Amino acid sequence: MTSSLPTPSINPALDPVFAFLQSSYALAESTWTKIPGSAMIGRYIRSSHRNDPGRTILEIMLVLWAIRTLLQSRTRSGDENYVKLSQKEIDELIDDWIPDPLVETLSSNEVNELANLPVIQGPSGPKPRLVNNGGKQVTNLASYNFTGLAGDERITSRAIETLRKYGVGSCGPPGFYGTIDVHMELEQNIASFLGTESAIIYSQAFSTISSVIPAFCKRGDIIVADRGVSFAVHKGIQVSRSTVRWYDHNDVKSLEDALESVEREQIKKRLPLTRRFIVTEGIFENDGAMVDLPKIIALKHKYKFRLCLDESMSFGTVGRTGRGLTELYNVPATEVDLLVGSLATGLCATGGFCAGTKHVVDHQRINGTSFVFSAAMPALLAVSASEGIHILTHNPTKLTTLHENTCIFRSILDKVEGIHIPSHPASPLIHIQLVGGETKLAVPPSSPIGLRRKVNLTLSQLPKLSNPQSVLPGNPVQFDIEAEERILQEVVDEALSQGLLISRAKRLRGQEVVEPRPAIKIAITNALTRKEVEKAAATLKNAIVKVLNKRKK
Amino acid sequence: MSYPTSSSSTSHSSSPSPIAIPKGHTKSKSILKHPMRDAASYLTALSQADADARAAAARKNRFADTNSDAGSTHSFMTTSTSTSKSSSSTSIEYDDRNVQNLLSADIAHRYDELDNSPYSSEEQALHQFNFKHSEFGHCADESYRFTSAWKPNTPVINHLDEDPSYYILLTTYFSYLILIVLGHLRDFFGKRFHSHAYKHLMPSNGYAALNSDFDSFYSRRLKARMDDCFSRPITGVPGRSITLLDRASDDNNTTLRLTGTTSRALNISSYNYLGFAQAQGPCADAVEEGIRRYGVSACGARLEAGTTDLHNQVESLVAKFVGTQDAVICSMGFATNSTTLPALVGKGCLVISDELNHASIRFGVRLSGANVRTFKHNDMESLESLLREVISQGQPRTHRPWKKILLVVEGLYSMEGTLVDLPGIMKLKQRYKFYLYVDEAHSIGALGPHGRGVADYFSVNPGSIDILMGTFTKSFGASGGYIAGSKPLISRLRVRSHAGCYTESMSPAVLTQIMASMASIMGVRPPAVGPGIVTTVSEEDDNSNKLTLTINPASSTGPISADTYIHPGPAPASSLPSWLHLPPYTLSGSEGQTRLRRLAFNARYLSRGLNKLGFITYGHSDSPIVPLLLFHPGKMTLFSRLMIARKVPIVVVVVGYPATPLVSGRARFCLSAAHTKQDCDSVLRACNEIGDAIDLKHGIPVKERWTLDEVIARAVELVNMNILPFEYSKTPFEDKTGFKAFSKHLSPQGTHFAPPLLQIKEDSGEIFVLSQTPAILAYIGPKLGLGGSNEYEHATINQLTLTALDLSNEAHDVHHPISNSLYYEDQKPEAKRRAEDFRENRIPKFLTHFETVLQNNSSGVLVGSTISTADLTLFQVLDGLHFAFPRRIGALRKSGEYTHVFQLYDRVKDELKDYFGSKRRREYSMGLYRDYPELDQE
Ligand SMILES: Cc1ncc(COP(=O)(O)O)c(C=O)c1O
Repeated sequence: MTSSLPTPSINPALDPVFAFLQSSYALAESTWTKIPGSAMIGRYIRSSHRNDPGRTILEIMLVLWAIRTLLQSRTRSGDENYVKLSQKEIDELIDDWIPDPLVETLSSNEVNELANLPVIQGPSGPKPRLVNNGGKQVTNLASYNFTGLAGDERITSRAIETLRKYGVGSCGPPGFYGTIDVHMELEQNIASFLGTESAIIYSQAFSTISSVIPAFCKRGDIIVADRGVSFAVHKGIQVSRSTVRWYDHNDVKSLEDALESVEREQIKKRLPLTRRFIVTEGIFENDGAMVDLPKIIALKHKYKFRLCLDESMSFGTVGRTGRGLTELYNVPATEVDLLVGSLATGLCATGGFCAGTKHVVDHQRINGTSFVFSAAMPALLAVSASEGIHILTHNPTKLTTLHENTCIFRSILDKVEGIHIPSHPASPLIHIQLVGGETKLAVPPSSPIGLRRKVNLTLSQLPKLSNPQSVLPGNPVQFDIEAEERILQEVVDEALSQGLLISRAKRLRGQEVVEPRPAIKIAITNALTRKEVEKAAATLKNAIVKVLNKRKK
Repeated sequence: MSYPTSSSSTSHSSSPSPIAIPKGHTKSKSILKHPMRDAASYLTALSQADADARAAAARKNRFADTNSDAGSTHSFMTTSTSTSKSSSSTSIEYDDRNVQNLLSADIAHRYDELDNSPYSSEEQALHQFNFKHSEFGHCADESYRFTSAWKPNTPVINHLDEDPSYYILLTTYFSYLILIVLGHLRDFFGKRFHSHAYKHLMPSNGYAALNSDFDSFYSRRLKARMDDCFSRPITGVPGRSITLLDRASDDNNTTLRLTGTTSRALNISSYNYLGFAQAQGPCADAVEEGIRRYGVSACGARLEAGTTDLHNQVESLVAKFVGTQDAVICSMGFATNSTTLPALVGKGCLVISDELNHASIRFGVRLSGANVRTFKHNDMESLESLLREVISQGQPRTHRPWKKILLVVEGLYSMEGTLVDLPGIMKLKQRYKFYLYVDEAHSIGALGPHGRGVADYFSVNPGSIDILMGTFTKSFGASGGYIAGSKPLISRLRVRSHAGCYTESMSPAVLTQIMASMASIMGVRPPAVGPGIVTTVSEEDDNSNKLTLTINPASSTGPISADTYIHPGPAPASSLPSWLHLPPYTLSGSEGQTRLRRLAFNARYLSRGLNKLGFITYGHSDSPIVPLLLFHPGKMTLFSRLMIARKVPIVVVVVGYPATPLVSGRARFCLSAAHTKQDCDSVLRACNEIGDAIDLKHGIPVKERWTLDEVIARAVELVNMNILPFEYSKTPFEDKTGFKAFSKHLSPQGTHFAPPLLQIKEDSGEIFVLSQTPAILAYIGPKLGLGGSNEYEHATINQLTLTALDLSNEAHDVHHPISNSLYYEDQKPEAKRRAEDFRENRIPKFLTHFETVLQNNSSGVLVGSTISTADLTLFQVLDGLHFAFPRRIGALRKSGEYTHVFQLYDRVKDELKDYFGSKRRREYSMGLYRDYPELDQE
């Protein structure tokens, strides 16, 4: 063997070391030769080294690099920020660590709120009984029962029929034997009701939009969204991780500016073509304002954006037969690329839907997270929704009455001093906010997030242009949330004592992306007569006047 | 073996109901005479039939060896049951792990002659679907029951690492490679020649494609090939059987059209664990009443007037069911996770998440803004090292300590069937102070002796788990989910979870279904019971030998602080609305118990059966989810289509990449209490045939496999397989190591001196308890076929067993030479002296003796020609010595003087290598054998 070195004993003490080295080399060599194919590799290395020594170095470096990356990926914490600690130190740190409590205990306000939550005894409807007041009947303007489908005989009897054929639960997600014929029928019904090619149903309204947006909008895609969209839409945008540009609440001019700036930016930076969406609501859940759909559609075409319209509050509540904004403005629903709606709000069933082209819908069947990873909706609720659509289609008076009731209610409330109603006159969802004065707010009344109104402003108060990259408006309106909520709650309590059930718009204070202004939320229903609505409006008016007067003193 | 099946009575198509009726049983006839008026009376009749069958079909005598009249157990036809006079069942209780190990050996692969009665044929099974049992199968045989519970101090074994051969891996990769290359080729040409078909995938008219050709490659080119296996539409109830709407495709799955016909298939795919997917029966009746009273909607969010009294009732019932102070419900299971997690953690918090956690958890965590780290699936070591790292390192960059750390795991993983290692996590929780969130979507209802999920299963106090989440979509046949926990937590979530303000509240129809199904599982306690804690030791109870500790709700304000699970007991009648009526059979809880125990049986039977047939399955054997590994993408399609093309079609779920790792495409079975044993047989038969046809059996070695007939015949044994002496001898038993009830026998007033104890329960209900290892061995040996073939052999076996146990006693005395009442440390010098003598003189003396005995008996065992308890005892002692004196025993083995002894040792070890390799074998600790290195020498 070439390795049999002469070993000139430099230092006799080192002899055993050399002997050991030599024997281990011999061992290594013999093991190496035992590996099948080793001879070939050896030959390869030798010949390549002979021909090109530089290459050997390169190859060795490559191998080392490969090993390094391999090892690195295992032992994480390769970042320089990682502090090396001994086991003892780690143990001490663990002993010392005291986590925060899992949750904060409730404040007395919150305890009160929970304790006084209205609890309906028996079925919900226009005139339910409440557990809170010992089972007395109240007039209900708090529940989403716009077209009076709650408790409809036709729906309950269809539901029972379905129960007897399908049971209750679907016991599986749509992909795994959870797609029931009644789901497909409901999807078909929604699509033909709206006039789109196709539709898909989700088993909860809130979770619909937050799955629809991320199904299409990925990192790098562009969303231009209204600052006043609902919590659910905000969550959908957040999950999508797309680039977001915000425009002022329900402000078409601001939208156009935002679209323009996106276009300019794309041209300037020569960005590749990405998916671009306008995301807004039909009737805003946060204040009842309504978008000008035809204008938005015009802009969408002009700037080649797609439109994602959340009609959770407008489907089943506006339009001649409740088809929503597209019917109200008489634009084809096919103009809206992603039309999202709620079957719970509009049809007193459960779940949500997204209507669009077949491609749009089929894509969600694989990519809509809460569609794919959640059990399909119970058959009897799907049938209830289908029946709801059937009833709306065949009873246009339902919507007419609803609209009339809305007008009656507004006509009384609009005249009340000290409050502001940001909602659209046609919207059966009505928000009532306080105006300045008694809460010592030095700001003009405004919609939740600063819908600009004509107020005389000094130069310094002139609105700054808002920055599309920030979700906050340029001239944020300030309000004292706690004080306003307290007053509004007093109004709610006063109304309840007069037999009218209404509710504050409940918010997740501290978790909202933009804090909406406190408001009382009224859901008009067609199940009450004209007289009853008048009476309810008068009760509310008196309650407001009473509470505000008391405050003034 | 007894296989009372429901089939033979259905072979007459006019027979209204395939109930197994013991022949000659007068009472049962009267059941059929009564027309079933409604579901309630039907169920009552069922329960009656069950009880009768149980009484009549007294347990078969399993001890054929000692029973000369064994003939009476033979040729057991499906409609008749036979009784044997002296039948008894055995329940064994151990307290000493060493002795348990001692008993854990059995070699005799013996079982009673196979019953040659015909199994229910497939046509008959199909026939059944036409009758009442399409939703919920009838299964009266009480031996097809099992209790789902963890044995304390045993490792949680999940099979996940059974790797197939490289051949399988390579071919699987290759299959994908071909699919991908083909797909790209087709795209390449397609874009050029069929550009219109690609229009929506390409940017056009200034719009980027909604879904680019690249993003959709997987779904177009891989998934589309098997689209006919996904999203199959159905109609009707997804119960025991399911009605498919047939589909066909004329364009290679690009479009699937409904043909208008339907076909009925056995459903082994729905999450219908307890079989509550029913359109008839007490739950459906209750729901109908609920809809009549409440309509279908509560119209709004919980905090905005969407709360009815029904919501509050369900919440308190759920809290009662789970065993926590309070609970809050949400109308969708997915949203329960995705809206609660952001309310619990945020910036500055860390979520530690199992790598296989459900999409809803990941969604919620993403919304929360908290940092996330994942750990290897269910791997406690990986978790602990991660915990040490994150706590010591603190937040990234700033190194500030984390505000909170929340560990999120699932109770039962829906794709792998693995059970969370809850005991391991609870141990870590004490040290590392993280909060624990357990998603019990699949485990609630489906696991544990009372169906209360993993806490029940592992006997962990639910109050010690911070957040228990679960869904109603699975076991309860409803929809939605819940969060259960302490009162402050739940109150906070009510106001802080997104769900409270913004999601529609649950439909009253669904609420009623939850209430009725939950009450069925729990049973309902009649009103008016005195306050206080009621302790019942119900050992005579036929349903369970468990100690049940029930706490009266009137006196309990929350979980009792204890480490172990305290069964929250039945639902108080006051927790249900007065209009909700359930039949007596349901109220008593027996319906719930039956469902739980049927599910537990089916789950074990199918997973162990598939294993024995040679398939690779994943997960825990108590999991009702059984994934069967298929590997190849092509086989997934094929498997699904072949299953549905059978005479009795079976619908299965196949999942592959990207829901699973690339190489582990699988079929997933979900068992249900609605399935009968025959249904499981059908699935096994189908898998067996298809598995042979398309080469799916890559599990245990061929020689260890069982044939299909064997699996079907030995179902009960498979399910109860745990302690080996009982394993092959078909002896019903329960291992109750460390069981408290037991201490009464050992108390000063008891009649037993020390563990182990063997408890034998006669069918008459009488209980006989036996202690002392030699006595137990002498008693069970003959019954298990380990006691020699005649009484002389039996006596000799006894004698040698005692000799071996003497050696064991001496081994113990080495570390306690002076007295058992002193610590080892107090007698260490003596112990050293004694050890020296023991090593040098005593061990060789005993071994020489046994070596001589073995040499004289040429068959390699101590007595006779088969393994006996003497051999097993010798083995166990040697194994213990191996542990305590490894060097000495090693040297003795090397010396070559005791070849026969060590041959016997190796033989036992080899024949039981399954068991020894499985970790079911308990480890030695500080008992008889102790590993003190200072006492050992070569
Ligand atoms: C672990 C886990 N969590 C949550 C869910 C969601 O539950 P649901 O189907 O009720 O929305 C599932 C359902 O598939 C699940 O497996």
